[in-house]
Amino acid sequence: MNRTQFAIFCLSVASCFSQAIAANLVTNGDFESIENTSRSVQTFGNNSQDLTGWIVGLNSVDLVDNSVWNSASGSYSLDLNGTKKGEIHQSLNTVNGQHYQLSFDLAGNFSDGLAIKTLSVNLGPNGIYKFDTRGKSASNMGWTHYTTTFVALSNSTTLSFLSNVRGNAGPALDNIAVTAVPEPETFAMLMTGLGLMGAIARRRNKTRA
Amino acid sequence: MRFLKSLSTIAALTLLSSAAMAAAPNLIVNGGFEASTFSGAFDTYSAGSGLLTGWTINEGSVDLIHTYWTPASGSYSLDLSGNDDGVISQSFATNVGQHYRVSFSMAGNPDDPTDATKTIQVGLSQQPLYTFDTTGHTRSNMGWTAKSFDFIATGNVSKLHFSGTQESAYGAALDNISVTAVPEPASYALLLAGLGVITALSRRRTRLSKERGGIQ
Repeated sequence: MNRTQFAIFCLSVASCFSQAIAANLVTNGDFESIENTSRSVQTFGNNSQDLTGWIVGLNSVDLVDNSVWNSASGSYSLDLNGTKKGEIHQSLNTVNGQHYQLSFDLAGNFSDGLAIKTLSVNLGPNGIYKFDTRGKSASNMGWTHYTTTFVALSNSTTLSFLSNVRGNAGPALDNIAVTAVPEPETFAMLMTGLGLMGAIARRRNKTRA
Repeated sequence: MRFLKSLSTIAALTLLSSAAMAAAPNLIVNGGFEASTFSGAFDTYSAGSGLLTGWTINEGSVDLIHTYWTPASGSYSLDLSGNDDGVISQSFATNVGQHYRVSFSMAGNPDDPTDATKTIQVGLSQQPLYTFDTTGHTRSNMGWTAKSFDFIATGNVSKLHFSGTQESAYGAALDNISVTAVPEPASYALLLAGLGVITALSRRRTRLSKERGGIQ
């Protein structure tokens, strides 16, 4: 490896690391950005943009504080069903071809007879998530952490969470995050190209010699 | 010249493999809902029934529609709401990093004009929701609309889902669901960029050694 090749290699490695520590692209993914703190449950209706960072795409959702049930962290979490099955979405500024990790904490509103709360997410290879509220309570929500990955295909990617259960007790969400991750296969591809040409060049030099 | 020959071989292989991928088959089983012998107007299948060939009904129920309305093609299509919103999904093998195209035909059950806009969420899509307005449409004039989007697989298995949202028996209508692999120009561009960089380097090295009197 000569000096130029080594410099390229160092740059590749450095860019991997800088992507690994990238910030959360989701605004108010932990539902802590709130103006009115006087009510324990706040309902946001269809097309409401009052839930900071998010658009309610269907029906309504409930923002719930720790006096109703324990959030996964902080003081607030979201019940994806207000009075019916709700949906929230948010557009993220992404880079075409970049890998991202999506993570979130899932639990469920345990207050009705429908124990299984199903949620669907548009991004990632496995978009359907189930949560069983049996045995769960306000102080023991059973928050479960999920992660998945996706590749952005443009400079804007919209993340959507949809409740798949009827009624006013839905899946509960907290700590939604999207972060850029390094892309080993892209660098592997570049390295393959470099290696291939290196071999050809070496062979040519040998033939000439 | 040998270098040019190698390069043209690589280019030819690239083109060949692109062509092979473009003609890739549909990875979805029963995406047109034609795998049925049901002869009535429609039939309702519930979650866990296993009756919709190739698909899992994760929630609620769906109606397999035969003569009740005109399908986008073939003899059958789907009402994503049976008695209540259905969620259907199908998993298929994918290659990590491969580019895929999902396409489907969408319309809506026109029987409930008070709830004319049919909304669904589709897995693997970078769009939040898909809607269809049934206003002005009838069972013989469904207004089937082609939708498509791309995704890049991040797992060896990917799951495509369609989630209904109407909270009624009158849901979105679906037909002709397919997933096919598509060529990836970006990857080839990267490989070629790698080739370009090393060519430049080796040329520079050859020139330098010539100047130093290394290679004659």
